[in-house]
Amino acid sequence: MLQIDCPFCGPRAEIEFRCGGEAHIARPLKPEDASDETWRDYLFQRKSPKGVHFERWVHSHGCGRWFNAARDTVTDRFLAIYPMGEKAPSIEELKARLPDVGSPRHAYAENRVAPERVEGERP
Amino acid sequence: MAEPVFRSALADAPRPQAANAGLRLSDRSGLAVLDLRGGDPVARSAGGAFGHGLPTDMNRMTGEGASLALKLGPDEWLLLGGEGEGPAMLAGLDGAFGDEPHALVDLSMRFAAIEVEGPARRDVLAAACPVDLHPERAAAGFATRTVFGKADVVLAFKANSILILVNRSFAPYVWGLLVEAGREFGVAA
Repeated sequence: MLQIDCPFCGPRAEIEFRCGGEAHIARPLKPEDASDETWRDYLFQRKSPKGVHFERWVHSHGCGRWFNAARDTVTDRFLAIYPMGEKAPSIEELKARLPDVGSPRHAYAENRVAPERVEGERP
Repeated sequence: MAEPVFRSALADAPRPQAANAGLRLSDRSGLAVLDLRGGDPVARSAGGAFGHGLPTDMNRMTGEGASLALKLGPDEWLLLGGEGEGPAMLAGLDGAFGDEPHALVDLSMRFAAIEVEGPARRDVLAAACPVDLHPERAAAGFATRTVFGKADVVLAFKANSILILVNRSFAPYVWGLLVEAGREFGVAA
């Protein structure tokens, strides 16, 4: 079960949360002047990256608060959780925090220790 | 105008017979539930009018007996009281907040309440609740909103029991799930 670190309640199970889609989508300041393309992009165009994705999450079955999160879509690992309204951390910054972001192997390497080989045992 | 008649959402629920008292379920529906939204100054003002201080830390509960205060969100408290005390509690808190922006709503009629007692209470809840229910993590005084099966519930951990608040329409489902999970611990319905 995926654990998500709610900034108010601490680590909780994923089923208490709901994802609100991509974060940092700014509404055009003057909608009446926005071109069809700008409006289309605002309404419909979303990223679907392989790697770091910035998302909005809400602890709907908990404190009910929204927050932003950076999630690695390959490993499902949450790389950063930060308040609504705050600027997204740069991917470089996240990479510095956690080397090898984007590789499916990094979660494996960090979470699991290879079993010790016993001499004479079959691999 | 006709007075509203209160009828528990669990009035028709099967009453389990506790064979070996590993688990006891009681219907506590009807207790007063007030929802208070506001900042920390609101909580401090409410403490004086409510009779005891409101919790300042997340997911904590203060008070004793039926008079409990639960902090469920950074700006949300649930205030519990005895059966039918809602209007009196509202009146008691009226004017306690001065100019502080706040919201205070009587939700008593929305909730059904189930009290779960007995040594197996944590195991039975763990059947369908993702929260860490170990006595060290969910000790007396812990309170949170979470899910039980498919239902959104509020859990309040007292010294010897767990109080479950659930929306009326979900109450028979939660009760049935508790009885089902309790069969392992000697509950027969």
